[in-house]
Amino acid sequence: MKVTFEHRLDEKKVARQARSAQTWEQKVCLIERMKEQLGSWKKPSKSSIASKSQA
Amino acid sequence: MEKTLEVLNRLEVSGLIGRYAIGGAVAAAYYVEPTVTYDLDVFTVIPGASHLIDLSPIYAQLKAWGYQEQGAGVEIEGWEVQLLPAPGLLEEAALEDAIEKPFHDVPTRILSAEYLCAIMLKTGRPKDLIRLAQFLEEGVLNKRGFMGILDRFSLLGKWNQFVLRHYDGQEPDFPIS
Repeated sequence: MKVTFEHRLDEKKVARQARSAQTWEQKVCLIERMKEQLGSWKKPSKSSIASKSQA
Repeated sequence: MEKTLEVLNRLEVSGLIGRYAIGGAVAAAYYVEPTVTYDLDVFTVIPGASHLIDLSPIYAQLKAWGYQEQGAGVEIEGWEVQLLPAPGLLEEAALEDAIEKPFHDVPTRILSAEYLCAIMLKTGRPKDLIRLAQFLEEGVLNKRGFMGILDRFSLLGKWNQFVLRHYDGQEPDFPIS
């Protein structure tokens, strides 16, 4: 994933919002937004890790 | 996340899982500043399970409802849900002590800050210890309750190591109540 200047600005904005979020619901909403931002990055599955380590 | 929790509640009502409570980063976000996570960690008891825990009936029901396995869990309404059968007495006690905390209007439970931190200390991965330090620094732990749990579950040695490594052996201040 290519991180652009806009991404950085957005990350800073989300970080500011994270500090000011008060309720659990607001915080989870922010987590969901962060997930969306990082959408193209997927946590590697255990099987893909295993196949890489065998390679 | 409401829809995800509704599915978990359906699983609990169906009897496929017993009492459940949210742990991990999503529960931590209730107490401290949130951090990004892809997983929803759900501690639960599996009715009738002994040493051999079989999650396949749960996965089969979830599949029947249209949810597929993903990574180490099941993708439910945008969250990768990891069902974690309580692996020991600490986690069982944490489940019993879990707090009723509706998310919007959906009933659910989260682990208490003290049990959450005790589990982080027990697990001991770098990200758990960073989060534990975050709890301490944000002053959300009840010291008496937390130390009582550490004593009860033989985690004082790990606590002392943590204090030595992260606080130069000086026990951090946190509220006593």
